[in-house]
Amino acid sequence: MTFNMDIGTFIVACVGSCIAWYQLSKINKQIKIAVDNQRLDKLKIVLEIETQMNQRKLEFDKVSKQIRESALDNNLSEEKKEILQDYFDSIKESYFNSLDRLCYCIDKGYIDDKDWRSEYRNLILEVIKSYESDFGVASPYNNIKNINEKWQQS
Amino acid sequence: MCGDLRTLEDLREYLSKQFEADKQYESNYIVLITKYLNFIKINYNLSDEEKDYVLPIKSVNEEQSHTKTIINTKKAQEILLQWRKK
Repeated sequence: MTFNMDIGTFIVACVGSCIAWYQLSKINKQIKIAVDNQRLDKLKIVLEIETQMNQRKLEFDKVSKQIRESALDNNLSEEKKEILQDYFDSIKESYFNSLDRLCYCIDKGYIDDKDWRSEYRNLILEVIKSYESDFGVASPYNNIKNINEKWQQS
Repeated sequence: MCGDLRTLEDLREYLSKQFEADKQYESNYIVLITKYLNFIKINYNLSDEEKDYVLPIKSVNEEQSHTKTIINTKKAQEILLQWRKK
């Protein structure tokens, strides 16, 4: 009777172990898929931000080209100059906003700092130096300032 | 999609070349990178660091050349400042 009980327990234990092993391997696979998906989502965020930044960069290029070409015309009206000034300010703000969003994602750890530091460290410093008046105390681009401070210190 | 690739460097170079060719037909980088990521996932058993290394994402970044834009726009801003002074 004892022998039968032991065999029974052994079989139950084996079946239990098999089920546990099966469940664990299933969970393991699911975790791996989840990690992969998370990485893909992260990458999608970065690429989305970069695509937007690139679009705004092109607009910024376009307006600066337009201004430099217009400057060749000595008879350019004051109204036209004002239009170009407003257009430039608007595109500049749009571009800085996209850069600020990228810096926000880096600052809050949504994307890895080390992956983007080499790519954007000099650019951010160059932006701040070139547009000093936009990055003063009352500047709305706090994330750009924070990341620049962090990256220049390390 | 690939020929005789033995090392990680071979794969990185191959994907980079392939990426340059594919860019002409697919302008959406997200779609393109997702396609490459899936290809790597299905065909190679790589660690996260290895995946990052071979993924041709650097080609996307290089194209953006934001620093040149900043130099150009700075010139435009100087013109605007001169206009304001007059």
